[in-house]
Amino acid sequence: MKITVIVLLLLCPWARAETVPPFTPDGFRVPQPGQVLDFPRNHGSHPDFRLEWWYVTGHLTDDQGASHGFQLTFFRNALRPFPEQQDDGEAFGRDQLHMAHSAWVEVDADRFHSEERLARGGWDAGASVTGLNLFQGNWRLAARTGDANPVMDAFFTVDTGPRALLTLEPEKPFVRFGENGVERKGKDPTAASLYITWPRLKVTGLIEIEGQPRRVLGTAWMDHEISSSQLEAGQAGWDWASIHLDDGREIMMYILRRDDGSKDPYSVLYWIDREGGLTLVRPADFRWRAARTWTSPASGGTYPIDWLLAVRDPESGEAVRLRVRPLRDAQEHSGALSGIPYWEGACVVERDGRVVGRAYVELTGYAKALEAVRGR
Amino acid sequence: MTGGAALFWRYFTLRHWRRSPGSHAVLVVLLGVGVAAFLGIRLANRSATAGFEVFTETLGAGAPVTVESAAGAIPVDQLRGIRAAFGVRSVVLLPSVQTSVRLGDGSVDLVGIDVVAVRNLPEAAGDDGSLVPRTDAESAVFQDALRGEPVLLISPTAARRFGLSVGDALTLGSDSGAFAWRVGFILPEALDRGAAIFLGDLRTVQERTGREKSVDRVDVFPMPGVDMGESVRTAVQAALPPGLLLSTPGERQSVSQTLSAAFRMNLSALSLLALLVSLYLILQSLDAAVVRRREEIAVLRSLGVRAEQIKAAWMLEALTLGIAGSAVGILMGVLLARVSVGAVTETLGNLYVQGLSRGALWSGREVLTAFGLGVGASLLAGWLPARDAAMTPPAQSLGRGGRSLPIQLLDHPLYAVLALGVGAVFLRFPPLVLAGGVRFPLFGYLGATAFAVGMSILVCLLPPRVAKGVQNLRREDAMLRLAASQLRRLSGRHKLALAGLMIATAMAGGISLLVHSFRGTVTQWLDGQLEADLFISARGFQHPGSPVRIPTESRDLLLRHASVADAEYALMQRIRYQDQSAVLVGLSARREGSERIWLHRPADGLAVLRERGERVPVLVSEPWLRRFGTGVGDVVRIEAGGRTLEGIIRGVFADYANEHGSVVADAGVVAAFLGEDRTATLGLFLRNDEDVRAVRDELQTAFPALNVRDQRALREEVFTIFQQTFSVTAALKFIGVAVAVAGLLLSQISLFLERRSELRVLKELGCGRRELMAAGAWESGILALTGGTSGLLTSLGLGWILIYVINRQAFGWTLRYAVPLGSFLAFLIAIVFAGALAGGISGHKAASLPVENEE
Repeated sequence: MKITVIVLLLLCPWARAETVPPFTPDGFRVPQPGQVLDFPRNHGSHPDFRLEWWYVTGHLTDDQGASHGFQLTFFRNALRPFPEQQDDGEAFGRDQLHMAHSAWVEVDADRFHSEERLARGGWDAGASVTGLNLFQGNWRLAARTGDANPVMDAFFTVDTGPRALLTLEPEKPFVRFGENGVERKGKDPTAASLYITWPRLKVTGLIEIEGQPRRVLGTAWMDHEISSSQLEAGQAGWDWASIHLDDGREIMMYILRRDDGSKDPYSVLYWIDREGGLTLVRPADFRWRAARTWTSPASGGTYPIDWLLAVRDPESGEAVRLRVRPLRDAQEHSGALSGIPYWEGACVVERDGRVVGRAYVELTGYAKALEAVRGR
Repeated sequence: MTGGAALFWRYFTLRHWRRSPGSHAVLVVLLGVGVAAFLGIRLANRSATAGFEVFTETLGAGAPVTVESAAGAIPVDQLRGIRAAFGVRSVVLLPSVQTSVRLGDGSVDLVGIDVVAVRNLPEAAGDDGSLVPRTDAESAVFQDALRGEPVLLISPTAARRFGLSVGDALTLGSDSGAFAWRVGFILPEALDRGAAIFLGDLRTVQERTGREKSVDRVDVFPMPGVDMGESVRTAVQAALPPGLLLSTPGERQSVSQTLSAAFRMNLSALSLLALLVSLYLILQSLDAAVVRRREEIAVLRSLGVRAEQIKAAWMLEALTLGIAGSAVGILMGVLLARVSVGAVTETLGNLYVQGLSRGALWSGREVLTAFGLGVGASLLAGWLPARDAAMTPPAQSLGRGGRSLPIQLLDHPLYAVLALGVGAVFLRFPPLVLAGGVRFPLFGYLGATAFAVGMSILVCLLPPRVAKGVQNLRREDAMLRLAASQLRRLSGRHKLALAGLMIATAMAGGISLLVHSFRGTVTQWLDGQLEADLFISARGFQHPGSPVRIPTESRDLLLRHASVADAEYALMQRIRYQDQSAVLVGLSARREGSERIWLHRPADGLAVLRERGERVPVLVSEPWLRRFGTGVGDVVRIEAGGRTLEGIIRGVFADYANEHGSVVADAGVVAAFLGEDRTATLGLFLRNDEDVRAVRDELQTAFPALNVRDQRALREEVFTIFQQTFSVTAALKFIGVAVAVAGLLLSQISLFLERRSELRVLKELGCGRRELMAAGAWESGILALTGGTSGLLTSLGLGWILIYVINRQAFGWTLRYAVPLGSFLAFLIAIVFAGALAGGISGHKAASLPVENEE
């Protein structure tokens, strides 16, 4: 009887295809289908995975009516597999490298600021493993409350631009993208992530620009993605977008680009309804096309910008064409510390010439190859 | 220069220079010596002290702000408190440790930095040379360093000095043992400051030097646009964990300058003295030239050349001399600096900071200052002879009558009384307190100067009396009577020469007296300090701020050694107290230091340190007493690492080891306060039957990381440092007196030239070369005897001022006043002999004057 079952299993093609190794060849953990995550602990760090990031992007309006876009990202990169990690509260750790990026676009003043930081895990940078509590220098992102959808506090500065003290309050519970809890990024089963997102956060706070304090109010998006490999061989980079529609829904989309410029079949688009329900759209069922390009004078990279997104609205069933227009062309991170320049920009979303939402778009792999996130 | 003036200069000045190039070249060189002494010492001093800042500069543009501990190192658990103190202000915080390690037979600085954090420096992305890796291979080196591999980043100077290149292996030794390292990266030339710097990842350096729990400093680099002005610094300082101090480079420099302030002050004052004596020599030389050219001046005046034009011509000559002399002096000065910088660096290193690196030697500012001083001195010295030349009526010039330099100051004893009175008032003033707590005894120096000036006026009253006395001794000696007759009607030239010699002798004598007193006092002090048979310290340890220490395990092994009967040891840590640098000592005194010099002895001596009460009993050194104004019964509160040590002063002792001030408590108390019980120095008392040298050799072999010295070797070492410190002083003392004697020679030659009519008569009366030489020797000899004796007597007063006013104000030391009688006597004999010789030479020269010149 047992032998019969084994033979049947071996003959079953999906059973073979879904075999996911627990570790990458160099010993980092791989996201497992059906992996149960408990919260709020899993909002914290996962040092057994190679890569992890917490990504906040949002649009704000200040008390003088001026519009702003911001980005605050904390990255963690394990330098050695978990069993070999030895840091135990050392001031100058050797196991984890932390990077943090911030960016700010003053839409009305047409100014863009960005800053990068790099540190080893230890006294000046770190991520708690028990919950959301990240710090790097004087930047912070931490849960104020101990529940699964906590209110969060963020403090960061952006080069010579603003400094911001923001409160982020989930207006919807977090969602987990991916099938069976795992977001696949390629045919290689290790190219996958655990992808947790708060799609709509109410933002309140205080910013200071040129010494002048201003109150701000707005909406943000926050991703927490955990993986040991984000790309597989043959993939050149990605176009990612988060869209806040004014009707209370959101769209998350990424296009994984292959080296030949084609769209990788593991690209996805999700609609998120007002209650947080997800609708997956396969790559064949949406289009993402740029209207023009912008070449960075700093990195030399040429980025396609000003996109047209064509997709069917699951609520109305009708095909919609959304124009995702950058609020400013030059919104590139220099990659001075990471070595990876990328474009991360605030955009406005229009339908038939009418503004229907706000978005943030991320474009990678246009200026330099992304070896660091390939898991090698 | 107009055509007429050029012609005038050509015939009036240049003609004489061409006629006697040798003597004028000597004059240029003499001025050059003065300028060179000034410049050379200043440059060497600057280069040596610049080494204090080399480390900071190597790490980029230099941190505008640094956080250091008031006492010892910064515990790593305070780093987050430092970050918090900066609050919303974005700054890169760069902790580092610095330690001395052994490389071959010497020691080098090993600096631990966070190889990741350093990449955040605002300048790091620039192309001007930074610590940012540019190639994959360089990146791999940084990755290796981060992973804990023993990779070093070294400065180009280190690579050159030790013949190292990328990939080379080397062994560095520390308290914790010897470890293999690999050269991974040579810093760009743009970062090289001429120092041999070895950089490793902070954590690796910590692990390999046994300092995992602390860093030495945290450099603070504000991000662009972040204000770090005084008000912000004040706010941050208030928010820092207790015991941590924020400082700017200016403040740090002033601290490092404080460390060597005494040394710098001595050198600067003495180098200025060198220039002053050359000024005196130029005055004498130009005066001699005026005398030689009297006929020419008279002819010119008769031909209608105005007095102002004569004066201008002399001033132009002085200017030419000043420019030529200064140019020569600058060349000589730079050469001198190259030679002496090593000695100055070594002395500073021995006294203050070991492993001191040398900074850049050249300084345009110092060169310009020296040039300006040389030219200015020449013009100042030329002014009096120029006025003398210009104001001489033609008839009188032609008449070759003796003219006296119009120096009114030396003619009125009332001025002497006034100068002495002013000097006495100056001596009652307190010292100026400069940045960093440097105490500069300006009024002490002014008082000493006024005293010397007053005495130099009074001494001009003496020669007629001395001459009379000497004449009475040998009435039959015609030449002596002739010389005495000259001295009875003392000319201005005589007075100037005498005053110059007296002041030079007084200064040289005063310095001798100070050094002699210092040596005597230190010898007595060392007798109390060096009671133990063996003295042990970690290799590389030379001052309380040095991070190397005797490992605790080594100390315990030594204390248990079979040959050891007793021991005493000291923990030492440089601390900040009332914003000034001082030293905290933890003393484990097993034996009574009976020979210690006390200013206020506690009833039970050093045993008082073991008393337990509400407050910790402490002893303070005399410099502490004078710097901080606290004495017996006062409370001393020291904060560091979040802890407070509150002590009550129970005694005051003399301490010549440092002028910053020491506070001494029981070793156990200090260890608990610092969180560190590694010993700085250890004294072992051996059993009576032990062979000290044998035990020393045995321990040295067993503990190669330590320096084991017996009492005699240490005593020799201390006195070597002592000699080194005062070698520059001795050289300048010699230059001063040599120039004064040369001035006497020039003066005597001028006097003979002025008395040519008398000379003619003397020659006609049968005086030959021998008689004229005898007359000159008597005249100069009596002047030298008067100047030398009065100078040495004056030096007793100057020495008193140096010891009880200047020295005490600047360093807080009380020395035992001791007159080096033998040295004084030898000095006086040398001066009189040199003076007589100079007079004899002038007589010889007078005898050679051509007949036609004698009219």
